[in-house]
Amino acid sequence: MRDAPTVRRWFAGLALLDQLDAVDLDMFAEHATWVRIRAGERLHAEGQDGSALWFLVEGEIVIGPVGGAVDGVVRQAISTPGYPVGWDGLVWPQRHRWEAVAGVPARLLRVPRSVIDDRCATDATFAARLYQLLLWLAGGQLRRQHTRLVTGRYDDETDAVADLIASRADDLRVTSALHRIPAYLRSRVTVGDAFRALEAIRDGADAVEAEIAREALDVLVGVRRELRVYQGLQRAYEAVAEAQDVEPAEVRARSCRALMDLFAHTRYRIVGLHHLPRTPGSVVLCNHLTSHPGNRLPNGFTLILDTHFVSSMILYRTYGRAPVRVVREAHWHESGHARYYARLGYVMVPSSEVGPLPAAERAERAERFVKEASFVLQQGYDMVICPEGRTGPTAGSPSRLRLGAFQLAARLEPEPSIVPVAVANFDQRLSRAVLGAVVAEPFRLSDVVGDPADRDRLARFVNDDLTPRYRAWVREAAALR
Amino acid sequence: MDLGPSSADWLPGASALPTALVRLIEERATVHDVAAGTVLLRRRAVVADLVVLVSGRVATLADFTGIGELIVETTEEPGRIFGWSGLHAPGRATATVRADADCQIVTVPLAPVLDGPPRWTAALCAVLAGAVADRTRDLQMRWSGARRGGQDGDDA
Repeated sequence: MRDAPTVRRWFAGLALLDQLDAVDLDMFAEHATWVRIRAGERLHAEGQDGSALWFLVEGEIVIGPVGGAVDGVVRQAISTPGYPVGWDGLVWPQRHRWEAVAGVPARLLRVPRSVIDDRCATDATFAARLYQLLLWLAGGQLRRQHTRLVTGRYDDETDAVADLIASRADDLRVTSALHRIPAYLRSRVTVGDAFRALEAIRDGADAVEAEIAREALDVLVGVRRELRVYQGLQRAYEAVAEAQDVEPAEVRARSCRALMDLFAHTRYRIVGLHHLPRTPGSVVLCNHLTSHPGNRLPNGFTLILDTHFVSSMILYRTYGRAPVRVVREAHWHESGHARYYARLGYVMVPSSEVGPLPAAERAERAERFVKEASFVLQQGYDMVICPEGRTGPTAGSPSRLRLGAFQLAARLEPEPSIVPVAVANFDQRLSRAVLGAVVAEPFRLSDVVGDPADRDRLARFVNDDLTPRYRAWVREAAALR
Repeated sequence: MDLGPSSADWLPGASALPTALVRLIEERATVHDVAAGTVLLRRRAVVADLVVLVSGRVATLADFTGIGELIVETTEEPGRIFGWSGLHAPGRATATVRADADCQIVTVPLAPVLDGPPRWTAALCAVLAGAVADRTRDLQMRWSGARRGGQDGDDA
């Protein structure tokens, strides 16, 4: 290529490739060709065989699974000069895991895979250096993924950035200014200095430091509270999942206490507690909200927080007795779900995954449900039910109240009180939302429906009367400050 | 060790490794039953062995200043490999890895690989880099799946 000396100097100046020898970089420079791509143009596709290693010279390359926006977690924008793009197509099994698309017009240097393979075949020490470098890149990407998954949920800039820098400490010079950043961030007086230092490092000559500084600036969002919330989530889960040889009622109580600790780190408002019956033993209704992804635990299990809030912060705090919830059975792939609920003694109903049950089995399950529910209420526990069966956003909640919970209440002897509780904002980040709950006035079905056993009359009450009022309570809960 | 009929088939990508290396791995691999809570790799400690999960559940923990170690990933997938950072400088673990339930694991010492022909190091690094990339992609998929929301709630 015409400007080979310039390219050689450029490669020689890449700190990211420090692990390679000068002769390796000269080989790259000798065989590299310029590639210019327009914004939106694809460098390589997901699933495509690896054909080259590209080195970003200028511009921005977005890497991630096909589609979706750049979110810094699943799809990430890379703008660090010298960053090797497409390495995932050179390692086993030589196919790209991700697509690479230009976020803005970009210029890269392309080294064909055939050249790299030929050199590897003739020089095993080069192959070892190169693949150690690629393993280091892969490991760095995984570490960044871990950090981003966490900092995506948490706003504690001090901890997040300190961890980011600590995780890359082995790559940094002992004298690197990055080592001072965590100390700067810990004092409110020097936070401004931390930003200035990070910006200077980002714009400096050391590519590794610049990349870390850029990431640190990206993740600098305040989130100590969210870290604590996540820790609380983990403890709430472990309080249940790790309980051995403990009665379900005690496991539920421990769970409620762990959840009360968790919610202590959030902002919440509850109104209408005076509506709760004097003693437990009611059917407590709850609208069901989609959980924010930040509440997802590493085992893939999401603690659904709205019903946990009702159980712990409303019912357990009022009565000192942890209620029983009605939950669906675990899907086949939900090991965390199964481990969690198996210990709590909840009333289980079939998951939608199994499809419609045969009539005989449906009748048998319905009878079992009534029997178990009656037993729970007779023992003096509240029973929490989400009549929707599915989650949704606060706006428009509840979507559709199914009749099962009401038909159950109509069949129970003695007839229980039904206590509607409207919850709001549990679909937002816990650290930023004001969680709201409105306890509405209890009722008995026989007081509001002439014949609760009449399905049509029951449906009219639920759809035409209760649902609009329930939505108004949810709006009231959402507006609490 | 005796984990199955074929050559190191508990190690994903073993078919892409040189035969002599596979033979070495098979000879040196050791099966261990470890109890829940056992630390398999300690962050910043020198990594002497690759750890391959055969059964059970393993958690990866990252340290967060002022908070302590938090689990950032758990897996029950047989064939998941830990300790790959022992293959490149400075050879230290980048995270703490802990048995989250009773596990069966296989350990493979890294020294004979690193002391062997360079092409062994190259081949093993290529396989492990692929495995690490797959693991990153799995995490991304899990995260993006979590964001979709609107699935069945737990409560009914």
